[in-house]
Amino acid sequence: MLPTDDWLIMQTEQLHAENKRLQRCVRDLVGIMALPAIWVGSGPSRIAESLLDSILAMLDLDFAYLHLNDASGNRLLDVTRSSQWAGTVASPQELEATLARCRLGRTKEWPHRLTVDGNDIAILPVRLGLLGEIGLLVAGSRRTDFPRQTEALLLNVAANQATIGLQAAWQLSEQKRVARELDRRVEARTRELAEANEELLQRKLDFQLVVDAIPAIVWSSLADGRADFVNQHFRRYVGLSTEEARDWGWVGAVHPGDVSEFMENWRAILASGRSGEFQARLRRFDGEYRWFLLRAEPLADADGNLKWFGACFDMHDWKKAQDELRDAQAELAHVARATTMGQLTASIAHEINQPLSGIVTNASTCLRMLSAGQPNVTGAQETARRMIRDARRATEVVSRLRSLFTKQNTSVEAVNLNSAIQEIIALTSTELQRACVHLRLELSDDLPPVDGDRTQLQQVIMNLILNAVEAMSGVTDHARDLTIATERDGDGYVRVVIRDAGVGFDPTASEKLFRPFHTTKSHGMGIGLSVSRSIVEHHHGRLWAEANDGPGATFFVAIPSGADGEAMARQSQK
Amino acid sequence: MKKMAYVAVVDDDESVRESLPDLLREFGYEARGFSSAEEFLEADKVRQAECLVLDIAMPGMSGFDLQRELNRRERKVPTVFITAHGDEAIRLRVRRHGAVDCLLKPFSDTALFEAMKAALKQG
Repeated sequence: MLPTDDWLIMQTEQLHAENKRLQRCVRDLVGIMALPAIWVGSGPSRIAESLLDSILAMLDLDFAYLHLNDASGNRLLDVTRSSQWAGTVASPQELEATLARCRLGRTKEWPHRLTVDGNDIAILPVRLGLLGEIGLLVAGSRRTDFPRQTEALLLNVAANQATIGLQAAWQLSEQKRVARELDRRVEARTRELAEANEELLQRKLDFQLVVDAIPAIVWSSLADGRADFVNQHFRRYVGLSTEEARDWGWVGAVHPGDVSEFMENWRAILASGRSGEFQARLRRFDGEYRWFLLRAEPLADADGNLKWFGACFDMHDWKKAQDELRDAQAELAHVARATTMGQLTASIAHEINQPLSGIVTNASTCLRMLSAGQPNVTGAQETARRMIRDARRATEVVSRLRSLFTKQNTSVEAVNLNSAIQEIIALTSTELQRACVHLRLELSDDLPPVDGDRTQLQQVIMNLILNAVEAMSGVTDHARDLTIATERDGDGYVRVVIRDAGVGFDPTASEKLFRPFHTTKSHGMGIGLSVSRSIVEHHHGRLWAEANDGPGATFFVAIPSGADGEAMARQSQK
Repeated sequence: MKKMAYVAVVDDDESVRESLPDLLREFGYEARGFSSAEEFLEADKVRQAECLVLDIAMPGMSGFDLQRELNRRERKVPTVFITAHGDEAIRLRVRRHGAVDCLLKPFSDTALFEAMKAALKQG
């Protein structure tokens, strides 16, 4: 049977309609395939909205729902697009809530239909990603034929395209995030480095300030001795710039007379690799040379490279003072000797002048007796005998002096302090009488000898006696008593005690008495006690003073008894 | 015959005390030695000296002390001081205090003679 015209017409229309559907399907597919190109640079939210809008426009749907996870699989967003109808029966929030409950189950377990507000709706869930890890696309329609084959095809392609787009977006987002993180880290690191650089620079400036502010010449040099740094003090002192002082330029400031020794010392230190010091004169900017002490210290870095760091200390004034002190000490010793000698000479002159006076007078008398008309021979003989006696007396004085002064150099011998004191008293007795001093001697019978220089010890005792006489010269209201005693103390020392009744001294200032040039006298240089103490200390002894309870002062000299002094003392007692 | 002046020598030194009166006697004076001012003052009560040769430095009363004591007693005696301690400065100072002279030991017989003459002339 041949087909009828109506059948043919119907078939033709069906084919025509099918053709239109297919054309539309192809057009939609092309549109869907083009979506990823549109999404380039867009975020997930924009992609989701664009996808839903597109499929809602292409297919005859009542709603489209898209759930997206983030890269970690957590919910990122839910977007719902619905037709006018859906909007009247259910709000996007209600749809999302309903679909979200379904979404919790597996895709296979999803219902094919849902009832929303009494309407039966066919739905098609499509996974984004192989296991739905990216998200879920759900399309819903009231049509009974939903989903048609082409619709299912389009929705799957759309889901795939969305997956591609979202993956690209995430990749881009991740790239951006990584880039931002990198930028942030680079920025943070750059900031840290800048801060560190700034701190380093500040430290360098601070260090430079400190080094420049130090009131001393500071420098550093390389291992071979060439200078690579000099501080501001050095530059100002010598008047050279950093460049001029660099390498060996600084040696130009050394005194020409010191250069050779300077280089010798410096090279010796460099060769030793150990710290060292030496002295040299450095020229100041105004041409004056001053003495400096140069000290150098080696320092090796982590790689073992040696550098030298040093300082120059201005010791000019100190050195000059040392020279002056040495001269002054020599002068002081000379004056001290002269002063002691001067005091002694006055006493000795008296001792010698007395017998000389007797000799001259007796000689005159003798001559007159013999030259008279009737010579008085008996008288002349008597005067001659007196002359001999007085001459002997003068000789004795000279002998004592000789014994006191012939030993110029220090010599150690066993000294009996009792006899040494008695010799001094013999020389000073006239001085004591003249000054109306009443002398009391309390010399110990069992005094051991001391090892020492007899002359020096006698000078000390004489000085103390003359000081005592001087201290009592103004005393008128009580006796001018002077006691000289010798004794042994319990510590193996022999003591000489010289107690006067003079003006005394302030008990709190007893040590001042022994300072050079300290004096309470209207004349004298105040060096006798200082020199005396030096002598006593040279004998390993002590010299000190105490104020008396009553008037005056007591001076103590303590000298260790000789090595065999004790034995000798015991022997003499037997 | 003219009566010779009585001169007292006061000196603690034995040599001087013995030799000086002998020399003064050779000059024609009557002379006696005393070892201290105190001894002289005691003897002066019995017989007053017309001239004094006086040592300055002596134990007890010094020569100056003795001169002051005599002045206190209104005993004005021409005095020649002698000293073994002195120098020219002392000599001038003693002269300013009214003494005839101050001889520094040892002194010559001529110096002593001239001083004695001046002293007795003053007296």
